[in-house]
Amino acid sequence: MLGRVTDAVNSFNAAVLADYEFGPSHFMLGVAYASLGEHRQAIKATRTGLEVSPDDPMAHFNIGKSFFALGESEPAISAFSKAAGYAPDFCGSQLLDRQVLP
Amino acid sequence: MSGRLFARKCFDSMRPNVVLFGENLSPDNIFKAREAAGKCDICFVVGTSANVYPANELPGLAKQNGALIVEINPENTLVTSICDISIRGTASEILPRIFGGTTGGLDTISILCESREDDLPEEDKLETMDLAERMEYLREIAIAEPNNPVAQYNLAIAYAEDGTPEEAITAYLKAIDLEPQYSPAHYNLGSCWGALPMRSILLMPQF
Repeated sequence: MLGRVTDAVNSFNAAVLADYEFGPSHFMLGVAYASLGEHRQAIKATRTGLEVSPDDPMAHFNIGKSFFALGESEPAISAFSKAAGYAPDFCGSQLLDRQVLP
Repeated sequence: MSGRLFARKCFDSMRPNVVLFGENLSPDNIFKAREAAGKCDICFVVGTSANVYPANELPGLAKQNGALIVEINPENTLVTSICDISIRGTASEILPRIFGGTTGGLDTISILCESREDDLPEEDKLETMDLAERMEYLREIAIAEPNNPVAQYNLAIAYAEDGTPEEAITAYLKAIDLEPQYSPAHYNLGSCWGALPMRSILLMPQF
């Protein structure tokens, strides 16, 4: 039953529809899309979450990882820089340790 | 204290180093708090309703990393169900007894808990139960109130805590069937489905 990430996407989408203003639902939707390799959708969902929770460094970091997975290094670096700007004491490896993305 | 304090250099008003209503949290402080929550052995949750994100995710994060969670608050809160110890009282009443006395610390916490258990209202008694007792209790409520989505939701959280996410998923689906717009249920269900990294899982029993 577990590992059904498509169902997770549906659940997080439903969470977003039920409470659009709750940023973590958007962010987790992004994480789920990224788990499926759908990085464009992941970026879109995470950016939407940033509209309601703009200061979340891990969200910026996740966007960077998705851009990196897509081979787009410039926007990836830009997103990583934003993450670092919001959390200057934490380097990427520490964020990676937190398994923000699988 | 009466009147306002002024800074000597700029003659502007001084203010305490706290986040006031309407102000943004410092992202750096949030990150440091998350980091500390991931490393701590014991996490005190004091004087908060635990309604506001992102602070309300910290006890859950500490819990996931094996910390003992001690709540000090006059009433139940949204994080009460994940607390190992809940002490009902105000910060000014309880904290000095834990940290201020010569016999403070965890011994005092256990004494405070024991002295209060007999007087607890029904909701608080739930917090004194171990997981197996709590699950049995929540199952009975869910059976007695089959049309109550909150009962299913709380049971789902207990199942998830018990390490049986399949049962949790079934209960979340029942809650959503009863209340389709139940956002926390959708959110927690998504985390269960995907077995995704629990970035900020909601653990919000409701009464």
